[in-house]
Amino acid sequence: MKKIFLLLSLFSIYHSLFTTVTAQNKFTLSGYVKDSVSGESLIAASVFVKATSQGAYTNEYGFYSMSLAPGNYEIVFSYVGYKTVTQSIKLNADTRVNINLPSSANTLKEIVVETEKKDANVQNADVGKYELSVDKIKTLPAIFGEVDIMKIIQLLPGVQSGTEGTSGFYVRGGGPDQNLVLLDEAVVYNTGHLFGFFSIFNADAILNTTLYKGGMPAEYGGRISSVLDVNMKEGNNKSYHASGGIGVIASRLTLEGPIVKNKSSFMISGRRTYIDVLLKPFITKSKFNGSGYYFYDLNAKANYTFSDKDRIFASGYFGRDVFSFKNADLKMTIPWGNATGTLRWNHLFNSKLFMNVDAIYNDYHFELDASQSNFDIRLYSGIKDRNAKIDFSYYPHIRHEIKFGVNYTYHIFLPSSVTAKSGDVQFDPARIEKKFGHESGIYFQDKYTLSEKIEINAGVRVSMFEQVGPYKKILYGFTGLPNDSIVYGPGQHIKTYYGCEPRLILKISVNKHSSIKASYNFNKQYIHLVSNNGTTLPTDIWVPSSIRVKPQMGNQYSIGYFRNFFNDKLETSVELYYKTLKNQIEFKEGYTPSPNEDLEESFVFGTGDSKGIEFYINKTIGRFTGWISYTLAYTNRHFPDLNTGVTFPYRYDRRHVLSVVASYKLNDRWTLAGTFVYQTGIAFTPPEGKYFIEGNVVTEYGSTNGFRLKAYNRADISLSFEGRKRKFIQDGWNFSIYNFYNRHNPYFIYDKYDGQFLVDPTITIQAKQVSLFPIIPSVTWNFKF
Amino acid sequence: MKKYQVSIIKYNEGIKFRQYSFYCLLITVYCLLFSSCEKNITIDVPKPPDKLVVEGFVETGTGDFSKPYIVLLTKNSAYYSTFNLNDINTYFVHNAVVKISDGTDTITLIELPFDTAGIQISAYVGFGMIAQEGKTYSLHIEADGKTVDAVTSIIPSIPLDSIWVTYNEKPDFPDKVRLNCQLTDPPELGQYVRYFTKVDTESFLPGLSSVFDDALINGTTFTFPLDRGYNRNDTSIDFDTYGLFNKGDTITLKWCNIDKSHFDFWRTLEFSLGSQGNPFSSPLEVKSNIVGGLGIWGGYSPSYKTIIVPQ
Repeated sequence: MKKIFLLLSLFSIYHSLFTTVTAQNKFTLSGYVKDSVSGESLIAASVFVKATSQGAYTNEYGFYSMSLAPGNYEIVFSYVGYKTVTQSIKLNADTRVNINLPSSANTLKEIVVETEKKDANVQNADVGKYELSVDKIKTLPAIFGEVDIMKIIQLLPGVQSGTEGTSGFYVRGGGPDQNLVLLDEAVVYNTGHLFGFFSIFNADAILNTTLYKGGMPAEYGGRISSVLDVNMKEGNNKSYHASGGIGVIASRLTLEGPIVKNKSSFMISGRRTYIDVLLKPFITKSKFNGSGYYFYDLNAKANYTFSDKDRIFASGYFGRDVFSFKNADLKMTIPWGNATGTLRWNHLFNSKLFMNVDAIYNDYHFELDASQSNFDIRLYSGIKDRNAKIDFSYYPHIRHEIKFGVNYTYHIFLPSSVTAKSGDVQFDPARIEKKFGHESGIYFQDKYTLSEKIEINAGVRVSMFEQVGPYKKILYGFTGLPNDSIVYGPGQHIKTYYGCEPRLILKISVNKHSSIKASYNFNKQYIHLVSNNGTTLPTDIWVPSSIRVKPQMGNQYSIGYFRNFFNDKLETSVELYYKTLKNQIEFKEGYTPSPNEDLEESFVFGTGDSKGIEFYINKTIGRFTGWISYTLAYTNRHFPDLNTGVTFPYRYDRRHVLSVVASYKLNDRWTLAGTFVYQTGIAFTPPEGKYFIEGNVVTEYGSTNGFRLKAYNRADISLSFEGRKRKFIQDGWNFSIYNFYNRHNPYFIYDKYDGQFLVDPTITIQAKQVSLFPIIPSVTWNFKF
Repeated sequence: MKKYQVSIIKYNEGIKFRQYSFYCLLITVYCLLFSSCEKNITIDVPKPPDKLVVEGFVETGTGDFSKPYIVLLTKNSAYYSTFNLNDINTYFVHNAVVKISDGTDTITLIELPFDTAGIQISAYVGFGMIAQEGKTYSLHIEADGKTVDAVTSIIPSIPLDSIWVTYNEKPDFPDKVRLNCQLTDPPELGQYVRYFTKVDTESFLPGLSSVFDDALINGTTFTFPLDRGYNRNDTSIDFDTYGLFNKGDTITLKWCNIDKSHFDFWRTLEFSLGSQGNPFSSPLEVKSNIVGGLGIWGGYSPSYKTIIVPQ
């Protein structure tokens, strides 16, 4: 609470500063921009004074505000995929203008990466920010026909994928836990279904996605590499609709409509795979009858508009993967997944001050239940958050866009835990140690247009993390064995970390079509994901900062040149970045998992750095659209206790990454699209030598990540067809071919041993490269009522 | 009480089970869903520097169970090179100076040819110094211009209280029996054990997971089932009857207390062998106690228990 007061007093000082500076007469033009048909808020729509660079963008709730000197203005409202609306406004008092933009559905759609205002990429003081609209990625190729925003994000410069087909992403040399993924402001801790092959984001339920890979605004905190902010659809507040699709492995259905017309709407969307149903006939006959796998998602959202000043939203996500295995004497089910819930209240104090209050709950849970004869075992791990935040947007002057707020989270970490039952005897080992933490942040940022040419986006975030009890800290003697412990009571302070995180972006326009942007970011991250696997799996465990584990820290510097050609039809940029990471975690050498251990005793700590150059060419307008991105990067890690202290490449250190996305609108109904990816192979630690112990071949490994798999390349194509608009139904088809030249990309390498020591005359070891996805055609039928 | 203690061990197994079952699951799902494809490739890794590989043990025992000091000395080789039995002698290091000291006395081992299943190998063997519990033994080897050193302790033996077998563990296999044990663990933490089993007149074989520590069961009296030992290279291990013995078997259990670094060696080695071929595991370097080389110099203080299972 103290923080809120501090924040408000800071704000009032700042405010009084402005009122003196901007004492001349100005009036505020504000309002909401919405879709004329569905009433959905349009995020980041541009509102500009014609023929000037003065203007604003709508915020996450479709609200805009700007202050102008009195006079007559032509205001241009525009948004990708919508018709531009120009309105004459006579400004002689504070004025509210709400605009409903009609969709340009039947004209040529610009595809994928949005350009709100044609030269926004050059003239905005945003760096490393990309907005993706789901509508526009639906025509692109998708594996098994499942449209996935995460797969498109992996094609942007500076962003790359992990192993083949997975939807995890790695930003500028950062780890998978360093991305802040938000679904309606709730943190999502595990974004993958089916070991990451599909993301948890059901494209039908998603309205808008924003990625920040650099120049992270101060309103976001807690991660050091990137922010992926995903917003769910609000639902049509004018009429009822159903939409959905039937695909090769999953089907989707979305219902939306008004609760109270024009005031309130709902959206509910579900998706389920049916691999289990398809495989059932084969499994029933085998001895694994009862085994299967499926996943499902549910998204729901409702909102109510009380007045122009107040609006509330409730939204939630629930998704589970369920694997079951059954044979003669073993029965096992493994469910895992996320649940999130968000309650929001938007309030407009006046035309210049907008407030959003959130109460958020999220939960990631992994579980394994197995039973064999009389013995049952249950293993589980997870993380739960309770989160509250208040954010303010303040528009004191057309040159300023100010944001400030507070954020508080209570974390409950559940490390890998086991309970077991033998007959009717329950066995609960005492060493299951939950961990608890308070995380909080307070921030202030100002996007300030200093002059026609110079714009500054400066912010600061002060963050804090406190580990609290109940907790039992085991102390280890010099023999490495536990010899004492300290017990902390519930809520008792254990360790606090805090830090001041400055963020700065500077934009200097060279001319109307080109600019230079520089940015600096310092971020702290108080939670860590640890994995003993080569890839991220649902079994990976989140741990908090503690006495032993220090927060991760990231410094990022970037500078870029942005230039548009052909009347802003072609956007290009070149960006250089350098990033350093501190307090990175790995397992110590010789670590083998053991039950209910305190994982942090097995950690070693190190640093990382990444540098790179990114080229980007994007064409957003016309029949032919798409982009090319190329990244040259070097990413290393340094751990005094690993690889004999020698710096080694990060697993996803990829020298070259090239992505091409192209889409061509053949006519009103047919669209042809394709993607191409080339990436340097991922690094792995090669076996170098072998020796024999008790007749077994024992491996001697070379230097960490000292070898590379073969380069990865793949092309996909798709053809989409939009059916004629009939009275009740409109349908469409998407035909995709994944990996259409059937390249056998390396997925992993394993070694096959032939021969038995001292029995067979020879023992040979042959390395085998396994490829995962061959050419995969798929077809999806989509419909809309 | 008994059931409770069985749970501890099962629960230990549960952890491994979690690891492996999850990998199995992953691979099964991949195979079910996607027609993956594999091909032979050549990985052109540099040959590692030559190292001496020690497999040497010092073991207490008298009478039938008395053992000489035995050290096998071999060399590492390039990982993807073919191992040929005819060239086996090129893997053994000859003419080495091998010395063992208990702090007071020092003996020099002599190289002797051995015949193992018709194949001639050589080993360094030493006599004339009695291995004793509680003593520390250091090993010093000079060969091929290299020197390696290692130290191991013989931990006082803590024999099992008793062993017995249980029947009808698997209704489908009525001839199979499970071996069970009871142990009283001393109050101090930090006991490490390696075990071997022997059926009839076969040789002693370690369990696939042959080492334990007392982190979870410290200071308690507990009972637990123990899996039969196997030759890991034996490809005929049947999953359905894994770990069980047969009616009519004469089972001898060798139960050895070992020191921490000896335990760490087998812990990492067995984990590494268990995850061989698993693409999702991280490479794990086996923790050796040989300074300047690879392998193990380990002390054992075995205790034995025998049970004859009726037909």
